[in-house]
Amino acid sequence: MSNKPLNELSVKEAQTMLADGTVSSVELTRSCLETIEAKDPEIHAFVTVLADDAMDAAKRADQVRKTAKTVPPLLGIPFAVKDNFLTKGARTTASSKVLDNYYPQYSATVIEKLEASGGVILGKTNMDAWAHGSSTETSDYGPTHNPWDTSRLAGGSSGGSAAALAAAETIAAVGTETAGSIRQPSSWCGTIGFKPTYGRVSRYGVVAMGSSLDSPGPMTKSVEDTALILGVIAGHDARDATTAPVPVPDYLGDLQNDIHNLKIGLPKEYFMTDSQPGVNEMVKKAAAVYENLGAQLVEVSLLDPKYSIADYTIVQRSEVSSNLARYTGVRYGNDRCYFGDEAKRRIMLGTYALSSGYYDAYYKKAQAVRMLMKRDFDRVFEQVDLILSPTTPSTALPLGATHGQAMFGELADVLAEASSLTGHPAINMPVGLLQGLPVGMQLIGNHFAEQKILNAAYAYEQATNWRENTL
Amino acid sequence: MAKTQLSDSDFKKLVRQSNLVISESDEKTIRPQLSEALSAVRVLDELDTKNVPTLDHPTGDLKNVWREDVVEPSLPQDLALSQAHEQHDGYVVTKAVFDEQ
Repeated sequence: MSNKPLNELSVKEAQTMLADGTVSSVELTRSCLETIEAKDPEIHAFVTVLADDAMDAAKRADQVRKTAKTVPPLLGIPFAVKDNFLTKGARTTASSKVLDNYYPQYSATVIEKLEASGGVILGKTNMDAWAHGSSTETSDYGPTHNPWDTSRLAGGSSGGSAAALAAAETIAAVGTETAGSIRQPSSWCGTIGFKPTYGRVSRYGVVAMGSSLDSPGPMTKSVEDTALILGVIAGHDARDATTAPVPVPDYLGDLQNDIHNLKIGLPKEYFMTDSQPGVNEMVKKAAAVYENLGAQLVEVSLLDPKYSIADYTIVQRSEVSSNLARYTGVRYGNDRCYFGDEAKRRIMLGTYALSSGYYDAYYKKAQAVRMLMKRDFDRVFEQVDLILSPTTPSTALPLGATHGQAMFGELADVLAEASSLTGHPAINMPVGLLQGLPVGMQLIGNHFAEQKILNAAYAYEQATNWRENTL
Repeated sequence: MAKTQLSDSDFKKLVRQSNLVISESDEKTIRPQLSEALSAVRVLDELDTKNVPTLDHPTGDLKNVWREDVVEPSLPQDLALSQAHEQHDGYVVTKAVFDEQ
């Protein structure tokens, strides 16, 4: 039995204690809600806390456990859910005042799957408005503060989910990533965040940002938890035509930490000379752990990430302008006057890039460059199994760092954009503390190579205690 | 690299196409930011994409994803209308698309 406070448990630990009867879902959920009440006035990880609904769901879960012969894997486990997942009857804002009064009529597939699996939803977490950003500073409800240093940003756009985990306000969380929005806040908050292959997890019922990029994924305290939750939420969905008709492996059952003969590529362009001093060194030290565990490190070369900033800017803005065109305030929500500056800028840039006369020079060019990036990764994945690099070039920046910086997000996500444009899966793993703030490494795999990433992440997690690695 | 400068009339047209309302003071910040971004992204012109096809779906080969043409349960009308600001006889009331007579 674990001696940790209940809110600090991982999913696996909570699952064991629920199963042997040492804890109930009501106790677990109450512990999380009390932590939210105590800490969230300062952290602001949540836009909406669903305390009553969560306690009701917890009671039902405890009841099911008493009577059912077999129980679903997440029965009674509290979750924090990013506020761009539609939750039937529960306010969903995507942190924009346009949706301030929106109560969805249906739930996202990810939410349906979590609930069918027994998950208890504690509330909806803060994010950059419409997921436009990498700080949560563009949230119309104010920024999320980093639990490691509350004068600093949590990152984004899934900053609320990452901060809720880091502050132990929840047992697990889900987020979404378009380019960096799971990995970067996980890196800044010292948590684990997994962006699956594009099409691995359904986008149905997720407030759309870049539809050819958006990838929902788990955010957790342990690799086992990531494997477990990914197994629950992944899979083909008839309601999202872009989901892959590829069977879902048993990620948790197949999890193992033997990485002998694994070839890991270190792209020299991703260890940028202008990264914050110490970040590259800490990630290279983490790479050395893999060498000690029997993996082979190989230097590889990828396209200069500066091209991915430009390419992502065009592709994402174009898709944003198309997706946000539907928000008229007629069928639901408020009218377009409520869009914030960031959304307005993105809509306009995208509208320009898609307009007749400029389409070829901007959008079509960007989609062709995207193919070059895909070929670039194909070439590297012929040589190596995984790619390892820093997740983001710096540790958490101070609140206010985004002000007047129209391209802040693109720079914070420079190392995540190419693999997002090409739809590759990747994980953020915390590797150490630099002046007291978490540093993250990312492991990128080939399409649908989620298991390989999870195994390598698990091997690292089992072999190290990242909090003791300081610089 | 080509510099893109949005003229006053370009900007106004873009605002109209985007279906947004931008105040004059916001225009002062947004217009130069857009011009700057539109110039910066032209860094892609350094890459040769002649004869390179576009990548429209990252993992590749999904095309014409159909389902059987059978009626399936969908959102009930009252639920679909439940968030609309104005309703009339089971319809959502919108602004007229064409000028009223």
